[in-house]
This record gives sequence, structure tokens and C-alpha cells, in this order.
Amino acid sequence: MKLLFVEDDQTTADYVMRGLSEEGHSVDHFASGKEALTQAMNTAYDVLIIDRMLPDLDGLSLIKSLRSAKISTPAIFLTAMSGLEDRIDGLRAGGDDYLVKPFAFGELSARVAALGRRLPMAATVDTVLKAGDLEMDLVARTVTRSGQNIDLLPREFSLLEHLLRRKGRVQTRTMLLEGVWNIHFDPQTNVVETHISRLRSKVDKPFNRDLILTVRGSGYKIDG
Amino acid sequence: MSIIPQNWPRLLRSTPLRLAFLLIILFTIINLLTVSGAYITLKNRTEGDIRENITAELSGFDVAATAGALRTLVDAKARATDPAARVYLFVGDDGRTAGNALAMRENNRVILKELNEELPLSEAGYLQETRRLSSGVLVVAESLEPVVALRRTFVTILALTFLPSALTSVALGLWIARRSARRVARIEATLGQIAAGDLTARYSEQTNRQDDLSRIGEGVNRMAEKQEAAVTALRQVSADIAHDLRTPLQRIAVLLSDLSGQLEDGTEQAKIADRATDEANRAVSVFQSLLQIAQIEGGAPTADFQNIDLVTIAREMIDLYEPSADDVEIALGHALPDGPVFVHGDRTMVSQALANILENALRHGKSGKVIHVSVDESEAGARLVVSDNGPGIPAEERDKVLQRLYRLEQSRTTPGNGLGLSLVAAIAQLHDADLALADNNPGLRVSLTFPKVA
Repeated sequence: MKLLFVEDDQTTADYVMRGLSEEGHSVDHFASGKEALTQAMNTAYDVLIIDRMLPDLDGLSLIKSLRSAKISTPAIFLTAMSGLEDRIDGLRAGGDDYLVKPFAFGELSARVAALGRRLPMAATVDTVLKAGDLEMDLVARTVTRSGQNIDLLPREFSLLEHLLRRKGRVQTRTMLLEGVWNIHFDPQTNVVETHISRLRSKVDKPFNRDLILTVRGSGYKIDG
Repeated sequence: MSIIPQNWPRLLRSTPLRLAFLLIILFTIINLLTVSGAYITLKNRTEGDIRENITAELSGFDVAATAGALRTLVDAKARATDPAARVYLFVGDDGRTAGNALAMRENNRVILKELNEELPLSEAGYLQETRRLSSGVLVVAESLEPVVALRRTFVTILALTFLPSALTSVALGLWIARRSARRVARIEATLGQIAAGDLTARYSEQTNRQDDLSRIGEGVNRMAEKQEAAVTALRQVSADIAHDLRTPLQRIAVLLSDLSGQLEDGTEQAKIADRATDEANRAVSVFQSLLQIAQIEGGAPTADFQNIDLVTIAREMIDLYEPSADDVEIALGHALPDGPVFVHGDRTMVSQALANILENALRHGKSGKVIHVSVDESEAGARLVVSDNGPGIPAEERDKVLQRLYRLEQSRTTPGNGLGLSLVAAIAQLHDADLALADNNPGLRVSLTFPKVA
């Protein structure tokens, strides 16, 4: 993907750029909000990664300017402010996602991937989701693996559905909390891990191959 | 301006009106005393005059005259006199009477009766004197009408002096009361706005007067200015700290991640790097919680508050924590009503408050093996209760655990950053909710009571 990255801290910028490049993205980096705005006005990007506190033009104004110029490229804010109102301000200004510093690279990478592929996913109208020998029937609300019926609780079903719909893409703990539970805070207990392990004991344990994979330092994913 | 204000009960309790009423009562008492003093003096004098008249009349009759002569004399006088003004009456020893009225003897008193309907007696009553003459009894009585007229005059005087002054005082009192009531109401409204978190609210004096109320208004404004400056400073400091600390924390995270990437999984070095990462994450979590509490306590905006269903939130959180409770063999039970229980607030904050209470119970109430969540609604408001059967918190420590970073001695070694319940307290305060920690005999019982939705 072609990404625009605005961040004034060089250490963070270097690290993020290295990570994104290793994943095969092409990244244009700017330390100045004004320069980034000019660039974003003239070049097409897949995703914008924007720090909210910039020395010249702040991130909120940058996105507001872009949105008023009818540029709707998905944007994720990086911010040092974690207040509830800050998150809402960011989304109101036209941001699509929000990541609080300090963040792990895996989190950013997973969220950028989610934003970049948002459109094709919304078009899916399949009523059956498949991964390997696993099949989920969204209408009958049944799950089978190798033809064997698997009984899932409603929340386990939602969690599996969330992962299946994003097949091949890493879902971090916070992305799962937001997507499956609609929770926008960080529980201090490993609740997501526990739910995943419950799901695994039903979906993976009785079978030879593990479908739900742990991505070290990032989260979970189901491969096709 | 209508004469009858709509806010009567409030107005009646206002100081100027109370003073007006007090003055009216005082004025009335003085007025009554002086007027009745004058009345009594004049009444006595009038009665004295009447008595003198009677005596003069009586002395006009010859004591030694015969009954016949006296009868003729009395008849002559009586014919020329209206009995409503004066009565002449002679009762001879032979029983024959003469005069313009009749007399009856009752218990040694002579009671006058009218002679016929054309000669009515005065309704005001009479002063009378009876004299024993040689041939009979002579009665002369004079009407008390002048005294009654005097009383009427005085009542009129009283009404004429009292009513206007009383009405004037009440009207004036009401006017002043309404004026100050409006000012007091504006001061109260300003204080209400400030209390609700709008620190830009100010009281503006609409007159040039310098009095107690305008001084209170100025005091309110000074207080609000200081508060506003303090909150602005706090926000600025929070934002500065957030920025200044997060950048190095971000770099540490970045460097540790780089380091981990270069180390082989499972080696001693990799384990050290992982531990360092965990510690950095813990620092971030403490920092984040402190910042969040500061922001909420600093008056997070409540404008986005909506009606949210406590039952739904409770179900979601129970669903989220159920497997974690099960892992440590705790039964997470609940008693939730079928219908919704609405409170006014922010969904994320209330969810987080419940999550923190549940995590606290999971960490410290483990030994009890039971955690129970309930939601109910009463006149007092909507209540969310989480109880466990663990060791509980000693009564004298309950206030302290709501303070930041405070941890019970026996909890030093358990995970958690000592901020969970402080955040709950801050969220409760922002929602006007009452947070209570009580003994569950055994264990801890945390209840959060939200005000009723209007």
C-alpha cells in the first residue's frame, strides 16, 4: 500500500517506517503538518498515518482540511492524548481510527491493514464463511469443521465470525475488544486471551491443525 | 411586572419580605396601643358627660311632689323626648307608670322595654339612674349612642391609618424581595453552572449598586476565575506531561521491540527483553490511568451524556469477564431485571467503572469463589451492585482505597496498579453517582447508585 506518515519524533518515525517498509508498504514521511497537507492534496494514498501533535499544523486541522477538500483517504491518528473526548474529537474531525502512544508496531500495522482493505470487505455478502476445513453458516448460525458440528456460545460465535471476516489479517487485542465487544478502554485483565483460549479449545483442540494463530507481539489471525 | 409573582413560596422565604412583615406587625401593635388609648380616654369622658346629664335631669324633679304631679311632669318631658336618646320613667307606688318606655324589675335591676313599636329604644344600650322619690321610683336613662359613634369613628381612623401603611409596606417588601430574589436566583444559577463544570459562567450585576449581593456575586466570579485558571493549568500540565512522557515511552517501546526482534526466542536475553517490555507496559498503564483520572476529575464534558442501559452494560461486562472468572474457579452470578434500567451517562466510562470493580473483585476476592452482579431500580435511583465473598476491606480502610495508588498491605503483591477504584470514584463523581463500599459479611460489596433519569 502507499502510505503517508506524519510524525515529528525521529526515533518513532524511523522505527515505524522501517517496520512498514519491511511489510512491503511504500511510505512517504513528513515531520511537518503543512508539507504533509500539500502532499496529501496532490498525491493519492491508501492510508494516512497522522500524529495529532505537530509543531506547525496539528493533526486535527490537517484532516479537517483534507475532508473539506473531499479527500476521503482513510486516516489513523497517533496521539499522546488518551482522553475520551480526544478520541471523539478525532473521529468527529474525520479520522477513521485512533491509536494512543506508546503503541506497539504490531497494533499500528494491523490497524493500517484494516483501514486499507476496508472497502472490499464491506462489499462481502457471503452467508457462509470458510477457512480451511472450517465452515460458518451465518444464516443458520452453525459452525462445522471437517463436517463435525461445533457448539459455540453467542459471544464465541461473534469472535470467530470477526476473525473469519478478516481472514489473513492480524487482529490485535484492542481491535477485538472494539470490534466484538464494542469496548473502548483497556482492561487490565487478559480477557481477550481467555476468550480466544475458550474458542480454541472448541475449534482447534479436537483437530490436527490450528486455525487460530497467535502473532507474537500483535494479536491473532485465521489463515485461509 | 405582575403584582403576584409566580414563585410565591420562594419569595415568602426571602429576607426583605420577612422584614416587611415584621415591621407591619410592630407598626400595627403601636398603632393599636395609641389609638385604643385615645379611644378609652374619650369614651370615659363621653360616659362622664352622659352621667352628668342624667344627674342634672334627676335633680330637676321635686323629691317631695305627689305621685300625680310627678306623673304629669314625667309625661310632659317624655312626650317631647325620643326614647332612643333619653328615657324618662316613673313608677308610682300605686303601680301606675308614666314615661316613654316600660320598666321591668329583674334581680334588683331595672330593665327598660319599649313602650310600643313606634318608639323603639336605642340599640346602643343606656346609662341609667334610678331614684326613690316619696311617691314612687323615677328612672332617667340616656342612650350610649355617642359612645358607639365614637367607637365607629375610631375603627374608621384605625382602618384609614393601618390599611394603607400595611399595604404599602407589603408592596414595598415584595418589590424589594423580587428584586433581590432575581439577583439571588442569578447568583444561584451561576453557581449551578460552575458546579456542573462550566467554569466560564459569570455573574453580571445589572445595576450599579454596591451592596451585599453584588459583593457575593463578585466573590462567586473571583472563585470561578481561580477555578478556571487552575483547571486550565491542570489541563495544560496534563497535556504537556502526556506529550513529554509519551514520546520517551514510545521510544522505549520501539527500542525494546527492536531488541526483541534481534534476539532468538527462548534465550535468557529474550526473556529479559520481554520482562522489560512488560514493565514498560505497566508504567504506561499507570500513567494512562493517572492521566485519565485527572482528566475526569478536571471536569470531563458531560454534554455528550446519553441515556444508557445499565442492564445491557452489566450483561456485556459479565459476558466479557465470565471466562476469566471461570479460570480462577469463581462463579460469576447475576440478578438482572428483564427490562432496561436507564441512567444518564457515558457508556464507555460506566462500562469501564464496572470492569474495574469486577477486576478488583477477581483479584482480591478470589478466595470467596463467588462474585455477584445485580442491577435494580428504586426511588433512590438506579443501582449497580458487585459483591464478593473474599476478605473484604476493613471499614477504616474503605475511604483510602478510593485514593490514588493506595493499596492494602496484603494486596501489595497482587497485580493491579492501585488506580482501579480511584477511577471508579472519579467516574461516579462525574455521573453524580454515589459510590459505596460496604461489608458483604464476608467480602466486599461495591454499589454504584445513579440519580434517577428525569
